[in-house]
Formats: sequence, C-alpha cells, structure tokens
Amino acid sequence: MSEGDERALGTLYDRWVPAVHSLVLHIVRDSAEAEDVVEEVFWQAWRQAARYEPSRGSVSTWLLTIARSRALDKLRSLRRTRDETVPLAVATDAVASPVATPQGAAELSERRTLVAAALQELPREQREALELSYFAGLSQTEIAERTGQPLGTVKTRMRLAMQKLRGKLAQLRGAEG
Amino acid sequence: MTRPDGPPGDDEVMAELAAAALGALSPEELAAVLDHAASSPPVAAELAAYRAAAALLAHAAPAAPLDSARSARLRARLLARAAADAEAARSVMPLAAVAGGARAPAAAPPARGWVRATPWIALAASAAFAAAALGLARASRERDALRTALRAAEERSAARAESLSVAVVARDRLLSALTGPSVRVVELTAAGARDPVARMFWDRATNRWTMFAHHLPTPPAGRTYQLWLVTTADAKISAGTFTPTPAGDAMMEAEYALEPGALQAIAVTEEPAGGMPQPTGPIVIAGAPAEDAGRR
Repeated sequence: MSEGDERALGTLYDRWVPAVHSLVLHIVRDSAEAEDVVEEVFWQAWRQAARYEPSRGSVSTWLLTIARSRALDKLRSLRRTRDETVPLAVATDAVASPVATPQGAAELSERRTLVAAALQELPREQREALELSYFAGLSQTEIAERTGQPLGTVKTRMRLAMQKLRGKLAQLRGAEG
Repeated sequence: MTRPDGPPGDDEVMAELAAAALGALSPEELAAVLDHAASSPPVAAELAAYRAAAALLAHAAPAAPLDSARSARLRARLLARAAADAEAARSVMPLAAVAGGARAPAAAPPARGWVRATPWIALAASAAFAAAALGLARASRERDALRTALRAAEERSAARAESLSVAVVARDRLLSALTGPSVRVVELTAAGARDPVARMFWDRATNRWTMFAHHLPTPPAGRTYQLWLVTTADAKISAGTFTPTPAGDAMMEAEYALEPGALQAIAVTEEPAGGMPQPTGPIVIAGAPAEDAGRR
C-alpha cells in the first residue's frame, strides 16, 4: 500500500531535518549520537502521527518538542554512562545562519533570527538560565546547584526571561500558527 | 511555593508556569501545576502561552544541517523502516479483529491502510488529520508488540542484506577475474612433493590477479607466505603476503599491470611476518605460464 505514506514521511524529513538535527546536535553534542536521535525523532513522529493535534501547535513545534525530549533522554543516558557533568557555559552565540534547504528555508531562517535577537536582548544570567534548562535539561534546582545561585534567584531569572521572551515572540508565534 | 495552610493559589502557580513550560520543575512540582491548570482556565491558558514561547527556543540552536550523504542514508533507513512498519500494520489487521472478538467474514475489507495513509499526507501539508486517530488507536497496542519484534528482525535483516550485497559484489569481481576472455591461468606446484598446489588467474584486461592455493602447511610462528610475480627481466614484484586457513586453503587477490609477455613465473615463498621487499626464504610453490595457455 501506501507508498504515499512513506513519501509523506520523506517530505516531512526533507523539510524539517535541518532544524531537528541542529537542535539535537546542540543538545547531545556528538554527531554520531545526534544522527541516531534524529532517526528516532522521525520514527516517533511516524508512529505517533495520529496524536498530533494541530490545535496545540504547528508541525514544527510538535516535531521539535519530540526532538528536544529524545535528545535530552540521550544526553542524560550519555551523562550516566560517561559520568560527565553538564558544561556550565552553554553556547550563547546561538545566532543562526540560514539553513540551505529548498523548502521552508526562509521561514526557518526568519524564526532563527527573531529568536536569536530576542535572546540577545536578555541579560546574560537570564539567558543562561533558559539555555541550561532548555538545552541541558536541567531543573531549577540543578541550575541553582551548578551556578551556585540561590534557588529563588534562579526561579526569578527564569520567570523574567520567559516573560520577556513571550512578549518578544508574540509576533513570531502569531505568524507561525 | 506551597502555602502551609492549603493548596497553592493561582498567583503561586502562575509563578511556576514558566519553569513548567521549560520542563524545569521536579515531577512533584509539575504534577501540582498540571493539577491546578486542569481546574483553572486562566492558568491553563498561561501555561499554553509559555509552552509556545519555550518551543521557539529550539530555533536558538546554531544551524547545523546534517551533511547530505549521511542525511540521504538516514532518510533511506527511515523510509525502509516505515515501509516495514506499514507492512506490519497491515498484517496485524486480522489479529486485531480476532482480539476484539469480531468474527468478521474473511472478505471484510481491511481499511487500515487507507486510514494510515490519510493522516500522513495531511501531516506533510500541515493540515488537520486528528480525525483518523480513533482508527489508528485501536490497532496500536497489537502493533506495538509486533513492532518491537519487527524492529529487531529489521535490524538483523538490514545487517544481513548489507553483508550479502558486499559479498555479491566481491563474488562478481571474483567471477569476472576468473572467467573473463582475457584471463590467463598459471599452475603452481611444489618442487618436490605433490602438495601443495595453487592456480593463478591473471585477467590481463583488468590487471587483476587471483590465486587459489590448497594444502599449504601453516607457516611457522613469525613467518608468512608471500606471493611474487617474476618478470622476464627477472624483477620480483611482491603481490602481497597471506596466511592459509588451518585447512591449508588460501585465496590471494592483487592488481598489477604487466605486459602480456612479461611474466616469467609466479612463486610463493616463506618470509618473515609482514613480508620482505625481495624474496629471501624458500620457495613453497612456483609456476611458469605455458606459452600457449593464453585462454581458459
């Protein structure tokens, strides 16, 4: 049956693999592991297509949420096996360069530019709190432990950062629908 | 953030929503927030807005596209898995019907293929397709069990297919090196005994040399066999070292361009492990091309 099925998966892959791979690699920081994770992300998307609800977000949000989740799973398991600690300084030079894919390239590039600009406007410690949480998968408590800041301070930074980000990205979210 | 005298109020939960959206709460804290959101529409709306903002952080990762060769391999793997998955889903149909106690007539048309294909086409177009969820969910449990087994089988068969295709290519090359119109055959025999024996196939069109040897004794420790092409100018060209199997069999392949009339002899000598630039040890087997042995 269903060559159409696999073609649809191929289409989804072609369109989103640059964004998915960029995110996964930034989290797991190992290209071989990242490749495995990317495969699992699209595989999971394929298996769970029926659970996708357009009302809760765009396809890219859905796919990138799966990607972050699988990448953090991998990061945690790598940390356990390698007994590694999380690097404290998450790269903050996350200003993206345009991705050269035919489909969705301009769209993605615009998103990257807006998000990067919004992040750059945050005070450094707020941005770091967001990044340690989003890309390193750390909880507020863990961030407090690793940065040596009081938990209350971390919570405040995270809340302020997210409030500002929401405001800055309202326009982008509206456009994304 | 909980009050000693009761459950948290909206204000306190609101303060945790940003962290909840980032997944930065402990499981217990998160459960409390979600409980609260379930009964408070304003909290639920705030949580959704924070989640949308958090999701955009994905785009803060530096652009790092997968290189095209690896991406193509990954894509092919995925599509193959998906094809196998679709196949499995189809084969699960009768099982699902039996499990549900439905004694449907054998001729009942299985509709799952259609149901499955539809959401995928829709998804690729970013359109709504949640309506198909019901049909899919029914078979999902049976499919999950099969999928685990299937995936293991897929991995085994993928590995097998890969090694088979490598073997086929090697076999093809071997066959053409043995049977080509320009292949010349040289018999090698031992000087004093009937064993060992070897036969060299020299494909003059491709400059490929393929030798099969039998009944070779295992060389002493630290020693190996080395194959030589001896030219009419008496140059001895090494074609590599080898060690026979415990049964005494060996196959050697080499590539070397030699003028058709330039081969005087082929010899195998015993040399120190790793081989020598020129033969130093005793000749184990040797042979010369017959003048008229141009073709086989």
